[in-house]
Amino acid sequence: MTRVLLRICRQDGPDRPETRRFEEFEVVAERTDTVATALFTIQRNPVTTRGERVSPVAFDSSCRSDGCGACTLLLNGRVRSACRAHLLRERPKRGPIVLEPLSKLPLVRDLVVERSPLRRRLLHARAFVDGAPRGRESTFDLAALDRCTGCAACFEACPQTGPLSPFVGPAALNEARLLNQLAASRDERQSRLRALMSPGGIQDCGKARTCVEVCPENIPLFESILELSADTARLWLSSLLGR
Amino acid sequence: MAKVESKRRPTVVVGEGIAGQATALALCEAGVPVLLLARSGSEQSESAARGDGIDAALDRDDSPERHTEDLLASAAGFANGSALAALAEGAPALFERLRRDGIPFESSRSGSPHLEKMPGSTVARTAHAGALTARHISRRLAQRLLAFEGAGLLERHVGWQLCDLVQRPDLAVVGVVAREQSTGQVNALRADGVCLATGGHTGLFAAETFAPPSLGAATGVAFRCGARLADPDRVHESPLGYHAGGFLRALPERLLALGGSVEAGLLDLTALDRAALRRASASALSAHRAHTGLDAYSEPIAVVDVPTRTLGGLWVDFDESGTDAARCHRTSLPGLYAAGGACAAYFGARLSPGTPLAAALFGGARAGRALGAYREALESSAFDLPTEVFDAARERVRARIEALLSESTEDHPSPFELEQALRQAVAQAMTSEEPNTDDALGALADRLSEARSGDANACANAGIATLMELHQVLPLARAVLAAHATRVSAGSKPFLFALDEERGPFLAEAPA
Repeated sequence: MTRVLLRICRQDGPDRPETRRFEEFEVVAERTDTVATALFTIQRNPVTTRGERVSPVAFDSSCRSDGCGACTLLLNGRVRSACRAHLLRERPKRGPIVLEPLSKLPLVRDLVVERSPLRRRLLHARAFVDGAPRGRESTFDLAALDRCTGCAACFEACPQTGPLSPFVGPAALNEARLLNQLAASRDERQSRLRALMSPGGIQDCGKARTCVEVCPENIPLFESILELSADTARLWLSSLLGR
Repeated sequence: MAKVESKRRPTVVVGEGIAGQATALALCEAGVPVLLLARSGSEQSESAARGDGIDAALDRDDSPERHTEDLLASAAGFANGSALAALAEGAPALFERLRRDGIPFESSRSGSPHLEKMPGSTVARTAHAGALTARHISRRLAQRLLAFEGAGLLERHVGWQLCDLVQRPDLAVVGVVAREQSTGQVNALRADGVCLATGGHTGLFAAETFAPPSLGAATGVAFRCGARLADPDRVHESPLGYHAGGFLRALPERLLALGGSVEAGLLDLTALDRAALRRASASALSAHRAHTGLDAYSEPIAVVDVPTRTLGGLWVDFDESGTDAARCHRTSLPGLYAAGGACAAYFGARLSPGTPLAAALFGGARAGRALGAYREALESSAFDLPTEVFDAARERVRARIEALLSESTEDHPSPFELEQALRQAVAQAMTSEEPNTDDALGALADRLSEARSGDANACANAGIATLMELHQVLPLARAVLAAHATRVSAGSKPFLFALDEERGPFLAEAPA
């Protein structure tokens, strides 16, 4: 059992930047305890290292079992899932573990952010399914693409995404690629590709590949982006040539 | 606030797990406007996180009749026989639709689905898409619902907690009151039909340290509003639980079907084919390793019993004759339907691991159709009722919450401590020889009346959310213990419970 210090960024509400502050808490950590464990512990006894009783730190967590994407945050400046980050392994050489909310989604309170901007981007990329079922024979090879939980790690890590940028982001692009693979008709594939040829689409990718590094599900995001690049280029060329 | 034109007369679906998604999808596909409310999104649902597969009579040696026989044998007198028969009948078509929607089911070399024989089945009947069958299905449903959202038929509000049902004097449900967790705003929504797809109440049985699966708060709300409960004390336990990081997790039961054995509290997978193991549960086993440092592929690992699903819940009707579509999944309250883990139609005494996913999809679709039929046949709409009804309902909830908001202090019991105390009280009463309901929960109820949120900021306030849940769940917890006590003395058969404000839960007759 070891004492671990956490320094947590707090803010009381979306329109209250004057309340932005850091508070420090100490928890006693067992080997299997994660950052999520610590946040639950602090929730039950929200007393800072200065002995001040404060309101509990607001955070998102759902399955607590490394699979739902709810608890993504910034840990020591890097995007991580709180439930997969083990306290004893995350301690820096000096100082506390620092927790901050995701920086590109609207803040609700403390570590909680609002995710509707991601949904709008999915709509923009036409990452939805309508119409009759497809009929493709076996899709087991697509399983690796079909795992995204919307955790927003790639959105955070990507240098091209942001609240002021229309870029749909790596996850939306991957969904578009998956759905094009499953698409029943050429019309459907092409309308999706055309959506990705509009502002905020595929050309906004800067090929930094930070998305692949942070995806907790190991989805081949960059491979999806490359495939879509090739598909959109082909479509552009054939429309240029009047086909 | 929901921007709803009264002539649309939407239905409300609460819960975005697989059953809620299936219900909403059936409604949208029938052109019925839907307001979908959920505490959290589908990616965070319990149903999407499970590692189980889906049962369907696809094998050459199988048939819907044989599937029905197995389901009835497992049910041992519990659950609804005609619902089970309809489920077995409908499962192959359901599977086919999923397959054609690109769910990556494992298939044999010939291309036919790879099926496994699980406990509760007399033949190989369970299909899996690796370890993430439910996640793949949930994602595809979400992708279909996104299209309807874009088209304006579905209005989706995530991060809303159900607070109450709005009822007419004849108890028919005409709307809901829900709280937006990010702002604290309380909203009353009219609805021409409501479906609760809010999950079971496994959390009541999980005596673990931190945040359990759903406590069943929405079931508690419905119970308090007059809906009957069926066998709320029944729960399915998996032998494959393990502790890590303050939580109790469960490995997929498929590991047992693949040949894993549990003896003296140890699960031994070492003799199994590694490739098959990886395909079946790579993510669950690597999570286990990340948390415990143990390699389940090469050494036996410690496991404990863990409750994974409730088998009872809201009583719902089913239509054997096929002539009254509005009957399916209707609770004992007119206008209120329930699907998935929240309802008690499909789960009997024992459970084949592949049944719940099939039941969520099949039941959700039936509930959606029923809700549409109910709305179609309505003589007077919720949207014609005076606004005072909804304003009053909203104001009652708002005032209740206002009274609970307070700063963090040592004086009042913490909602989170009380949640744990509730689970411990239920666990204790369930295992004791002489269950004494009043003792166990009476003390808790007193502490609950003293409790406050421990956080005066209405925004993203987990204390208020938990406190509200506890108030909603208490009558359900009482019913669980009453059912358990009844079962201890009267034996293993189905019971229905209703709630009286003064005397608490009591044994009730089936609705006419």
